[in-house]
Amino acid sequence: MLSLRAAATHLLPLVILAACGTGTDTKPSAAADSPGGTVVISTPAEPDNLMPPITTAEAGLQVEDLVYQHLADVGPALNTVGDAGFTSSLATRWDWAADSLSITFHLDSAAHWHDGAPVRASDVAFTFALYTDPKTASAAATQLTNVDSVSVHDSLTAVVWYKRRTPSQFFDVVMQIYILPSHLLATTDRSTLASSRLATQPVGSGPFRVVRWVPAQVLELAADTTGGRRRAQLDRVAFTYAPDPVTAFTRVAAGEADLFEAVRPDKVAEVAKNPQLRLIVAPSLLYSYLGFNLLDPGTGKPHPIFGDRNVRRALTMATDRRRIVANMYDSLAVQARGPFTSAQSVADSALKPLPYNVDSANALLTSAGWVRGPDSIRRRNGKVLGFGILVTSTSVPRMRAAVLLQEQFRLIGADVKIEATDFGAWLSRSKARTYDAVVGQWGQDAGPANVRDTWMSAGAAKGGNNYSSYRSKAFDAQVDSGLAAFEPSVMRAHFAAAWRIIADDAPAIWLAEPRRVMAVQSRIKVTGIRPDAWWAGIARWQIPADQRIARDAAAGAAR
Amino acid sequence: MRALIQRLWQGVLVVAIVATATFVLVRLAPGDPFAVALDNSRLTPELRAQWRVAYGLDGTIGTQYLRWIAALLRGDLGWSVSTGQPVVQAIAQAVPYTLVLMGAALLCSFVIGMGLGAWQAARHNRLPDRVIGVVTLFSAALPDFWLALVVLLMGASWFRIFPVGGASDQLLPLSASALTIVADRLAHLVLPVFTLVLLIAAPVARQQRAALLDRLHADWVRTATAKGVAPWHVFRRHAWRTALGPVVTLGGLALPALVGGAVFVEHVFAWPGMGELAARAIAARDYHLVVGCVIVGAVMVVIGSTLADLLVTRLDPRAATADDNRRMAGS
Repeated sequence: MLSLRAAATHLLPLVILAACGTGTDTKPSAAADSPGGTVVISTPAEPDNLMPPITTAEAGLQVEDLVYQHLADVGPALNTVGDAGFTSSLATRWDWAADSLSITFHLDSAAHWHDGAPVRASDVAFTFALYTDPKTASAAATQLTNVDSVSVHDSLTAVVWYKRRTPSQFFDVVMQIYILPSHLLATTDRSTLASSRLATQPVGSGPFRVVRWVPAQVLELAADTTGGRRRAQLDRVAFTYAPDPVTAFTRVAAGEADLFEAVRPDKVAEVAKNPQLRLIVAPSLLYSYLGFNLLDPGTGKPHPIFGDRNVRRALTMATDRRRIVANMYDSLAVQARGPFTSAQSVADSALKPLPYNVDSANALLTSAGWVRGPDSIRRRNGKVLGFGILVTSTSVPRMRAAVLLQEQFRLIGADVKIEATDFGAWLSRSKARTYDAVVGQWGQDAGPANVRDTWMSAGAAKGGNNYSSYRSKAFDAQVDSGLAAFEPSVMRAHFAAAWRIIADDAPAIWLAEPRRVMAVQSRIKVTGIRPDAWWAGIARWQIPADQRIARDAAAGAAR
Repeated sequence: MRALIQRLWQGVLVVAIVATATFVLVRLAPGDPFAVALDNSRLTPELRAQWRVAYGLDGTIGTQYLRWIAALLRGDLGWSVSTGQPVVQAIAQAVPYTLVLMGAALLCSFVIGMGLGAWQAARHNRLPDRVIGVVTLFSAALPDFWLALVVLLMGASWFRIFPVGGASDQLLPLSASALTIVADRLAHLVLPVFTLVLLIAAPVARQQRAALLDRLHADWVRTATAKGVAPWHVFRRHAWRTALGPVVTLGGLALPALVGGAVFVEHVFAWPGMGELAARAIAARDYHLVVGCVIVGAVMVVIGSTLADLLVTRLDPRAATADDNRRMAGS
């Protein structure tokens, strides 16, 4: 039997290369170039709606990315400064004003909505108004505050006017909004978009149109062939829903579906053994961490244990992260270095986290007044060095991390209790900050701005997403400077400084950057996987004509 | 008739109490209906508050309850946040699937269970009785989630005959014949029904066996045998018929599952029924959908137990006499 580690050793280099689009997939022949085929994606997560302004869950974004279009798309390097890292989409080209306070977008003249109506510049202006209308309650509106207005120059030319020049002004507009059909949404009540017809039967201008959505069963998309643009290489994409991840994976293993996007480490060997399947491992924008609550949940004053920077540093140094990451994800993750992921343009691969050194950790705790008692537990002024780790019981990797952290902290005299809850309770307590320490995970946008919400002082206020209540003026200043920098090298330098500050302050122990591990039927030629959206290149995926099976032939005629 | 009306009134009261208790308890539990959506660092507190207002989840529990009652009187069970549609619509979509799955499973389970139980009773203390007794005990003790996963993995890895999930092949071409469609539906039923039969038939068999053994030693059975009535006739008319009471009661209690579904089995086999809908609603803290599912379940419990009582009375008139005697003693 092929062990997981052996499978990983032999396969991972290949699949990572494949994911990066460096040519593991053979060059398609002429026959392979002919469009056709069906990709069935088996997934446990179903969208709650397909109305872009109010969609926040990834399951909805996956479908919307195929049905709607951005004005431009970010490239695989996720460079969000200026427009250098972007490729055209609905807009074929764009011109910057001399003062950079406006950008003129020239739309694809052949672009059509799936109902046949042409896409016009007025749709762009309408979309901006819809996203920013308070009645819509769109989460993306916060990213659009720098946009003053959108005007229509002619039917195919829209001009976006900005309040000020920023490095991410292009990204903020083109990637935060999908252009929507004004002729179908103009009369819709914006406060009830979730119940509108388009929320379940969207009409977009993207490479695929929605054929049908049978709740809890299937969402079927077909290639749009009405427009004059280059059509998708596939005829059909179907998302089939199975609430249990084991079932969703089993459908792929049994050949009933073609792709499962989140293979667990214990299933990797099974995929490696199955000749019909191959493994694709790609970078993701997720990182997991053990966050310390810097405020006492009861009083709101500094936490009696984690309010002390030296204690946090000691706990960090007592953590063997290599062992924890290996137990969480085997070889399918790398150690996280800070509140960022390696795939982001602001990642700092040279950052040296606090070293794993139990002796130093013990010394630091002793110097901080925490002295071991006869039971080996440390106390200070009669108070035990004890705390709880809040963790969601439904995540196997996070539960494993909690157990190992408990054991490693015990070795330095900490009495740790694991508080396992379901996801809802975990999130509720995290938001209310009624915990001591929490095993959490954040997903990042392509840009670096998320850190502002999750670790800067602005997010530490009640209701914000900085659950640790970490505040550092120096960190804030570096991040702000980084976000304001127009030169990528200057931006990276500021972020590198910010990462050093937060690593030294240790408001959290950065644990793992899990990879995106997918099982895919071998007949599918996968290309263009982006760290923030593995599905972004589906329109270019291919199934060679000589490898198509029965369900590939049935496109456009499904019941 | 009067008793029936009284039972129905009691039923309405039970449903109202259960719905109210669920309404309150689900809101007191930690969590949030927008939990998944709110796990997004972009959402501001103001936006969250706005969403709560939009979905009628703002204000105190009392205020929400009054709003919910007012909507209920208009036949509106509210909006399901997790499925993105009205609760009534979500339930209406799920119920037919559960009816098919549980109908098939209960029918097979009761036929097989009653047959096995009767066969065991007729061969009391012989080898077949003992073997089946051990098998049914083992089967009844199996956790449903575990069993469903085992059947799923065996179906996917070893046999590969039947589909491993879903209620039908959603990608069948439009040109597929009616026969192909029916065959596809039946094929999708096999694994979940097989799992449910393993779980349900065992207790039915054990109940049937115990009840029959009790009746086979009754005076009237001995009398019938002594009078020379044919053994098969004695077994069928004098013993088995009167031994149906406990099994019918079991059937009445199982009736709510026809609509309520089997949570774990539906979950594992991706069967889009009520059990899965309810589980998903609870996990997502979809308050309106949870209460809607509970109301449907409570109504079915009331109907099921009422029907079972009526049927037992019909099958065994002594039950009605006993009720009358109790009432007379009470008065």
